[in-house]
Amino acid sequence: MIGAEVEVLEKLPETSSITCPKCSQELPCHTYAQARNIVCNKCDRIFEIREGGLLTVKQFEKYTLPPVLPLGAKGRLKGVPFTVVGFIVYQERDSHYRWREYVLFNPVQGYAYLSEFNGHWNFFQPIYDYSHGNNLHRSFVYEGATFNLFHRYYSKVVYASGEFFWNITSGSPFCTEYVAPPYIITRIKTEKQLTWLLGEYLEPELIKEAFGLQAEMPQQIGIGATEPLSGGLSFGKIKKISVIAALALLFLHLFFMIIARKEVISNTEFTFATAAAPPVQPGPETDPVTQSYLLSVNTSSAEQPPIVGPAFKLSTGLLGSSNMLVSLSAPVQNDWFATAITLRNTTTMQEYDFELGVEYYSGYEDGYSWSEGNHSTETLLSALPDGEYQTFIRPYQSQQNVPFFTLKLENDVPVWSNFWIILLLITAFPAIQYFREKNFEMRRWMNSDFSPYDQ
Amino acid sequence: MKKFKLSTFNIFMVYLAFLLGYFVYAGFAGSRLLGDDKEEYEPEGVRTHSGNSHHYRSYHK
Repeated sequence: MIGAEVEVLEKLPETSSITCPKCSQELPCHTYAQARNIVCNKCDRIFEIREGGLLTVKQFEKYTLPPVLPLGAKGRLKGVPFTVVGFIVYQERDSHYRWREYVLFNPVQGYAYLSEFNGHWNFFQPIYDYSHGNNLHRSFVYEGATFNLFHRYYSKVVYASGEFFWNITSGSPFCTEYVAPPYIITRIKTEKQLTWLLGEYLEPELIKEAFGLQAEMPQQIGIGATEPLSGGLSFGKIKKISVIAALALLFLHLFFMIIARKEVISNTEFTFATAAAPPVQPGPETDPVTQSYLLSVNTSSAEQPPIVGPAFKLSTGLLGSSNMLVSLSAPVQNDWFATAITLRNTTTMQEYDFELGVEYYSGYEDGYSWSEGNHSTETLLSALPDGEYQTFIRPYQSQQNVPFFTLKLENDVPVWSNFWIILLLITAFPAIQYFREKNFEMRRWMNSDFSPYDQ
Repeated sequence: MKKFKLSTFNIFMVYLAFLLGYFVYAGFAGSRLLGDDKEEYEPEGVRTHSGNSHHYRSYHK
């Protein structure tokens, strides 16, 4: 078989076999001359393969849990067809933590490894373009990602089955793990060599699908060292998009500010009659925008009919509606003044009622002067349909001592509250993601002796 | 044709598009997202209210 057959036709070589010298079990061998150790899956003896035959190295205790990926299973990971040729159960030499590794083999691409701990899977392949030797680094950059020291330990093999291209029982390799989720780089140091493996987190479902597994995958416990935050959307990415969206919002708001006409359609002063200036019939004067009305003092009463105020026409909205800013001001002093206003659409006869009121109080107490309230107020009427309108005003006050009030109607003004609300909603998503991600990272680093969150 | 997948990223992009789209609509329609305090009377006398809340103020001290 040639490499092209493996790569183009995706064929894997036929399996040869070796007979266990102790129990006569036929042991499949996928890696041929590369195999240095082979483990009998019946009697659990590990043999060293020599020219003269198999040499017993040791016998493992029976391991009760079957491997999730059976030996000989074939599957495609990262576009490469692999065969599962080995299964090893590791344990930290100085603690009780155990994890499982599956040795994958492809005749052209070589070896790769699937590691499973607490239901979290990483796919490892050796790298040869990085090393910082025996020095201990707290972090380093590889391929643009910053890898941070996560864990250090000595490992030992407690069980194995299948075939291996290295002597799996020699010594306790010293492992150092650096993570940049979803990636991990593991430095494995033995007496004779230094190996660097680059790993990437894989979802269990992806492995199940790749190898056509029927059984349930091991249940996930906690957060994996390289597990990415669910959804695959990092705070960094979401922040960039949100900034772009906020800038777009700002430009849109500037656009609406520029095209807003801010047209004063009425600025009317209503004066209450005094003895010096007797009341006249209310009505518009010559200027259609700046008008004045002289009112009877009795007008300010709930029993009186409303004052017929200015009339105007709205025909400006692109979508058939526009807003209106209504401002009221009155020279109140230790008093209040309010008015009910009705806008009647004389075409549809639909009416819009609202109230405006001002109050202002001041005084001098205990050596301090104080004041509260305002002489003016305003309200924004949202989306008034186009049409011809007539205003009706019904002022009321407590002591009849407010001499006049002014009512200003301004059409098509920019609405700042819309801008702030949308900006708040844009920033809400990254804010939530920031706290989610921080909480997730804190939980991840709880499993590490080198957590940046302990400082 | 590429299938649309409902990922968090896609949800976020749809969310942003909705927000900006609604802002543009409100800008052209003269709408205030918080509504206002006006009450509407239909010609037949049916009363509707466009705001979130309405209260008759009393300006008594």
